[in-house]
Amino acid sequence: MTLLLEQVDRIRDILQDTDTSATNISKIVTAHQESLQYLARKDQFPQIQWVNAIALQGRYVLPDPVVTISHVLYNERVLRYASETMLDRKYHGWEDLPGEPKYWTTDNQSPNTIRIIPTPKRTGSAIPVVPSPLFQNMVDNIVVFHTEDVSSDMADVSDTLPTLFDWDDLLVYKTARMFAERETETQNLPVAQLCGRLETLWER
Amino acid sequence: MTLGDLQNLVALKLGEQSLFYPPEEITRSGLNPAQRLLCLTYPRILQQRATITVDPDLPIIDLRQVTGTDGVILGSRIRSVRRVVMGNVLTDAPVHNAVTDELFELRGTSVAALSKRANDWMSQRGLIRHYWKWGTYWIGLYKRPITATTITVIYDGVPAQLVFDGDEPQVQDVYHRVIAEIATGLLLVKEGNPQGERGLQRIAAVLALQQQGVAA
Repeated sequence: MTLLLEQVDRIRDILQDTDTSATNISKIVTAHQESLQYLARKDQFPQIQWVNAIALQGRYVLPDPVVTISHVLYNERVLRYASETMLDRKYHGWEDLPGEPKYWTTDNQSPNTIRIIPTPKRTGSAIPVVPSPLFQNMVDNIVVFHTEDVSSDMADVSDTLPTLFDWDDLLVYKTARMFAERETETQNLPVAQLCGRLETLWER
Repeated sequence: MTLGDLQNLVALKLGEQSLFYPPEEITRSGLNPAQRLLCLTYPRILQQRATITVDPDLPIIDLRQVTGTDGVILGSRIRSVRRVVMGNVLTDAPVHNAVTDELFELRGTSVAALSKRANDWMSQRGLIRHYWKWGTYWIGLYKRPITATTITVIYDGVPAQLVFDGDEPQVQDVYHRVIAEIATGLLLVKEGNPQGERGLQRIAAVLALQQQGVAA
């Protein structure tokens, strides 16, 4: 894990950029976020999210950075994915059906929202099993395996990238290439091309 | 070689232009990424081990929170998990798993495979024969342990950052000059062509990558 500041310095090293103004740093940070989102779209940042299940509540909103939801557990059991069409065929009024959850869906929801069907009858305990920053009781609660976009937390140079060091290197060359390719007076296509080839070294 | 020695070596290779290549840039943009690229290309150079005690009530492990053999939290220094073994096999005197008295190598599986296998896979407790992975950092045991269980994770490591002059790369001495050569190549990139091109050729040559077409 490295500070975003160190990444910015490396990008400026490659671009031979001596402009330390806040505007310039902000431009680099914004471009770096774009590079992070490139990896996020490829589901490179897996995460596991614990969600407190509430009795008779079927809809759960996960944090904004959620990109793809892959698996959902309720009460330590797998919920199967179902589309709205499938649920329409299976149940009448499934949106308001209490019971033991069996399915989850994201149809007609915002990307970070899931609906579990039937809605749980019990509220799960939110008291941690043992003090831990990571996990709480999974009994009668929801656990979501998803990927996330870490770029939303990377807005300031004092932020720490939560990524593998290898990704940090790749991101530096990706962002540097992005700048070197820009149609500006500092465009430097040879450096852009070299950075592109370095990306392939890290992506192999 | 220490970081100071490596900085001097790279500076010599770059023609001792300390104004154009200050020492902090040599470390930041040269030596640190160079040692990572070396270990990325040849992961066996830095395979490491860490032991974890899995609590039955906390079956999901975030490897970033695990403490390595050097007493430091691993953080982002795990590239990929190679093997998971029951018991403690850190040293030449392995400690068998207390419950089953074995040093059993667990087979890798995935959340998707376990979900297909059984709806209640997460709650099943009993004999542990598999470990599952979710991304790089999350792992768990299948089945869940009945009591606290020690496992050893063997992983491809990412070398620790070089920060102070006296720091030495984690890889063997024989690779230190390779790191310096890769660092020189990486630093030359900012000069564009033809120097940058020569830099990439140096990296490809020292990593023996020509046959894979990277230098082309």
